[in-house]
Amino acid sequence: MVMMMETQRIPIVRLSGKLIVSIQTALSDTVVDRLQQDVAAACERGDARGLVVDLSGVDILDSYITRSIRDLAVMARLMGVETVVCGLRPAVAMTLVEMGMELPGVRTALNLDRALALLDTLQPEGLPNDLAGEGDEWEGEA
Amino acid sequence: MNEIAGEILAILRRYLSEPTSRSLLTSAARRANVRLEALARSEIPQLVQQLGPGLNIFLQEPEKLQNCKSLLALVAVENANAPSVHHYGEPPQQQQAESRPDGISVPIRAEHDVVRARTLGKDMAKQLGFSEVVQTKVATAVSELARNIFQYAGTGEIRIRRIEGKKRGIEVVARDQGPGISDPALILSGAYRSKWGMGAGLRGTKRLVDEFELDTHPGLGTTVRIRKYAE
Repeated sequence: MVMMMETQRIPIVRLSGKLIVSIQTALSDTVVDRLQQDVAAACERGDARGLVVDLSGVDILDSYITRSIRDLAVMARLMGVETVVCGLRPAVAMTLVEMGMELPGVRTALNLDRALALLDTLQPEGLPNDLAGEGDEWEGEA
Repeated sequence: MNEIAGEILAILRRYLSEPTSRSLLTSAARRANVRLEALARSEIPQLVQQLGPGLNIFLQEPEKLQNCKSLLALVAVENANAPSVHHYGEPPQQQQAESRPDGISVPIRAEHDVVRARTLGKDMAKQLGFSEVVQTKVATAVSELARNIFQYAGTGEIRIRRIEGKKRGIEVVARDQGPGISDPALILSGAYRSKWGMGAGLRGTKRLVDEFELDTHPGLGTTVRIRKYAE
């Protein structure tokens, strides 16, 4: 039984250039660690411009899981995939603040809709510009 | 269905749909030979016993099944010696904070037990009528304590029980025979600048609850006792 629980995976949905991870289950450390690996692998494929982590189905975020979510977002950004965390429940947000745990360096949005909209506003000045700049330099060198 | 039966139904409803809960309860009542319209507290244990087989069938997730049974068992134990007839005009019973020596114990042996303990903490807080925010705080504190046991001591136990009396609340005791904490004051002060390590978990827990006691002996183990009262 325990084995069954531990091999549980959170699906990563690809939708028009974005990765959407909607967590609708109780998060164990193993599940979160697996998710980090899966997101890293998905980012590596290179066709994703943004990542949304929807936490609306999560009713408890303790320090370890909060850190893991933050690490996941930072990791994705380092790989060039902007991340927005959304759907934090009011009770969860209040608990995090009271514990003194915020999500430093992580963009947040109220819900999935707004998270996707936020990613759209990030993209024009995010990745494409950088790539364009890189392209110019290459041309100059040649 | 009277109020007492309603309490049992409320527990089932947390894990199962309304129709399923009702039919399980009705069939269990039939087997236990009790009437839901006039359920007495003393009849709860036999009713709860009859609910077991049905729950095994309908609750597929082992974690939920265990938690549901634990909550029901708690209600049954608490009511095992209750008088079946309520006498009006009796002086109110002397209530002490320590009035519930039982409670629910969750052994922490595997990572999965951390999830189980916190879910149970939340369910119990909900059962006691705590607000969503307090439920979340209790569950988060339980999660921190359970994780500390698993990460630093390997094994241990989380015990959750209700506090009755002037202030209603919930008490959680986390106990292990692990390495102990060499300088608890330093860790709790925040001077130990591990933003996310054990210090953060314990400090965070302290900030979430109303009472916090840490008893640790290097080489012998750690006991953390926390209390949270209904707001």
